Amino acid sequence: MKRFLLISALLLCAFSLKAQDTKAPAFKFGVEWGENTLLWHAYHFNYTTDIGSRVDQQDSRFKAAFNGSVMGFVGVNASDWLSVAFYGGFAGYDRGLRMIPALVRTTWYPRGACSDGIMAFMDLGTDVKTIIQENTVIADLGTGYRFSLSRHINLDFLLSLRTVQKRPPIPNPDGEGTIPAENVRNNSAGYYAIGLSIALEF
Amino acid sequence: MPSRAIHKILLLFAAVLLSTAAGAQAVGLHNSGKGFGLAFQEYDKDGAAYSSFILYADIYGLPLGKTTYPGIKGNYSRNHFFGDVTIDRAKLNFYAGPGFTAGYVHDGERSVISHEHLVNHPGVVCALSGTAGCLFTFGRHIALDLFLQAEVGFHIRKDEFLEQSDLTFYSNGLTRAWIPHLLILYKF
Repeated sequence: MKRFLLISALLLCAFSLKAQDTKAPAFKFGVEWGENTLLWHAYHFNYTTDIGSRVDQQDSRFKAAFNGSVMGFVGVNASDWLSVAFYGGFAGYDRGLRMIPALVRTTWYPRGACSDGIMAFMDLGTDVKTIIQENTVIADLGTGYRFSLSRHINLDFLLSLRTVQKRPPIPNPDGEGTIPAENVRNNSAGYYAIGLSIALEF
Repeated sequence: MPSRAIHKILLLFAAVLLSTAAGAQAVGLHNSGKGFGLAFQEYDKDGAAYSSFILYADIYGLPLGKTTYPGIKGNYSRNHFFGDVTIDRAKLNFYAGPGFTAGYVHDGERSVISHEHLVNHPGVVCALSGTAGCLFTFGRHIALDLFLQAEVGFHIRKDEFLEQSDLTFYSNGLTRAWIPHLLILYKF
């Protein structure tokens, strides 16, 4: 695994040494919108009921749900082939699961940020609404193709694998509300989706 | 809303779509806070005007979970260029023009944020449209079209409580006119 990562990093650096036609601007901003297709949902709940019995529930299954997302971003082009940006917006991942993501994205442009070509990116962040209550973590890994329309206008088509990991409250099966936190031993849930999106960068 | 009427509307859209697509000089994706769909454009030989047809799923109420299904709306516009400016590799062509909108959509509701679901049924919309925007060309096959569109017309829907049809002014045509449309086009 370490050898694979080292070879990948060296290959990306080799691509970046190709001469660029235009230097990328220092700062960038833009908007990205798209569609999240939820494909897999897994959860594991383990808790003690009011009468002292222990309940262990877990499931992992295919689950299809179509949701959208729209985000704005601001960032810097650290070099002609590497950029870092902060993303924030509004996204859905499942029926009734709407989030306000706050993500940091690192993007690699092997042919340069101001040239047509493939790109690769990874995101890491959280949901602003539930970061404290549910310890939500959002991560993406993706690729795409950039059309550099002019020095200040870039059009990206993106494809990514997305996951949301969280610790949601467990509904109380014996009454209203949720299971008290002191009775919960495990309450993890994961969502796995494919994202298709378009971005305009200036 | 009788299903026969919906089928007729969809057949009409399909006919216009196919005939427009057959002669289209640019095809692309329609992206907007109002909805997502397809776009076709055909340019006059003298370059003074062009015809634009868009067909998209109207998502009013969908992002907030107030409804579970989109509407469908089509618009035909005849746009006339009135100026242009070149910045870097981009040429910005400004235009405006009238058009016509038809579809089967939800109309706006008061207090939509506080309601759990949309109260009114969807219905047929017929409206005249006014479009103003800018066509960005970059000396290559990809072009961008950014515009605003207002619609004035009427909305016919089944009453929520009575066995009758209601005819109302299509309020979303004006209240949502500020939402921009962006077409990502491939020019042949």
